[in-house]
Amino acid sequence: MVPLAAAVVCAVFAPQLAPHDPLTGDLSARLRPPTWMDAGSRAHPLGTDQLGRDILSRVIYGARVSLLVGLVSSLIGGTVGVTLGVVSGYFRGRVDTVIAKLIDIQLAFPFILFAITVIAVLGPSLRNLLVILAVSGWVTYARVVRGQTLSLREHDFIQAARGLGSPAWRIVARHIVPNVLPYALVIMTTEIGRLIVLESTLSFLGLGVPPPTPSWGMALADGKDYLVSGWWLATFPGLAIMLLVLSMNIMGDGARDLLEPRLRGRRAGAGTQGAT
Amino acid sequence: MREYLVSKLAHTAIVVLCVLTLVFVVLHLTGDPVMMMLPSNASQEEIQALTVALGLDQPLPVQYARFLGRIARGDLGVSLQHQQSAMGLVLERLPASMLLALTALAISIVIAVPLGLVAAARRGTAIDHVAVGLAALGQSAPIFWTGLMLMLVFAVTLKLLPTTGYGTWRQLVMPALTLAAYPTAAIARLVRAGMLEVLEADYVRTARAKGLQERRVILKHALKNAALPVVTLIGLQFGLLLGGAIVCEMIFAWPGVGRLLIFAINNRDFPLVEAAVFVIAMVFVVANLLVDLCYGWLDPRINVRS
Repeated sequence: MVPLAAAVVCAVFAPQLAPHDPLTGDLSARLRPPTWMDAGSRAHPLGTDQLGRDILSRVIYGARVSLLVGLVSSLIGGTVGVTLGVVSGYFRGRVDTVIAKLIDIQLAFPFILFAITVIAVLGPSLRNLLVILAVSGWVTYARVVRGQTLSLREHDFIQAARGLGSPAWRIVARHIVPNVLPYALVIMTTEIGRLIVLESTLSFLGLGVPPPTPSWGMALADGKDYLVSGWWLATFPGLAIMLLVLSMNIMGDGARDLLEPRLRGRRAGAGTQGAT
Repeated sequence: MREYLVSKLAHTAIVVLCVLTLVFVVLHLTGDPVMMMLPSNASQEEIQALTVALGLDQPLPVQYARFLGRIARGDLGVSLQHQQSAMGLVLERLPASMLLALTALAISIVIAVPLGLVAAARRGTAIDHVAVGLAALGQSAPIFWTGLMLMLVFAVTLKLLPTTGYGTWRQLVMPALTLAAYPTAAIARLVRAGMLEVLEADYVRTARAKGLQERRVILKHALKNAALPVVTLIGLQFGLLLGGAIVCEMIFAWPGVGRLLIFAINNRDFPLVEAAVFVIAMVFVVANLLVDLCYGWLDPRINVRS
């Protein structure tokens, strides 16, 4: 959890934490190594890049882009996915068939291929990136939520609500959605990590957030041309991505374990929210 | 079984059609290939002549119908940049991509299955913790960073392997290891999880009670029953490897379809983009189809009739 907390703190307090402006470089200090190496400088703890920009500052500011993109696109994708999953699972019929087919189709080919093509054609921008990442994520929510909804709609409390004349929208809003939201939240914890990696990959290919906005993927793309003379350019941004995604995945695993039916059954007072 | 096969083939055809439709729509929504091909001082007559020659003056539905007709004939046009058959260029590069993906898959299976088995058999020990930790790292590290770090260590620092190139096994090692990192982690975790579940089963308890050696219990009884989801994942990973290969090919200058696709996109070479996407999508859906068809063969209990 420490890397995640550190990333959040960096994202929120970047202007206060970063020792230098991430966009301004000093060409006389280009390709300085980290401070613990010969020719390193305390002014640049993690070294500088080919334009003399401070690596630590770019890593700190890069957390903003990664977390913003991961969180926002996951929220959008989650909202769309949960909505479609609930509609599909509760109403069944043609709606379910169409949505299930859409899910199958999107899962049936490597999404990065589609993302690369779309962004390359439409142009790299933050808006396009958020949209394409949201589109990549909705299927996971929809598939899981659909399965949960299919199961929930057969529960006694739902049947009772239907029998009492409760309209469909009310049953969905008051009884289905609250019971599927925990599953969506679990998915979100790992989805954010996956989307951060996808954003970094697209930035690495020059299709992510356009410069000069500091981005971890873009920093890695710059670093790959300087592996011999500046190994630190690629190492630290990549390490930041890995640690952040690792902590998100661990959090997701923990959340999933909490939701395991076997574990829930052993806890006193555990159970689904029912009709009142 | 025949109904299942027909259903899966129909689904595959729908997926490929949707992928091609999306690519067609996106490519034709923005940009003007005519302006990309002609010099900036081209006259209006020249622009109009080329537009008509490429069929871009027709309504979009007509262009789409012609596009589908060309696909059906296997004609995906001529590369604007290379002036050669787009499909021919892609098929030239396909063996390199397949070599990379298959090698990565083989590496991941060879490493992941024993690792998962040992982790499950030695649950709670240091070996298990190390295996789980490595798997977590493998699934968290971006593929392009893994590739750069391998390049930094083995090519730049130790000078054991070349950074780029194609043709020798030494040039294949780093790209394949890079591409294998994520599937190795995913497969190892699934093998471990599946084995942990199977090792709690009654028939395993019976086998142990009968005095069978633990090795025989694991390899002969437990592994077979844990294999189905693992084989499914392995099959699916092959398709996903093609997506990861795009990035890998860019890092190591591997002459595959992915690298060709990126260059085609940057040069707005629409026919080449369409051909590359079509081929990659086809390989992916065929791999998924083969995995689906293997379900019934692997587990006779599975009823393949929906």
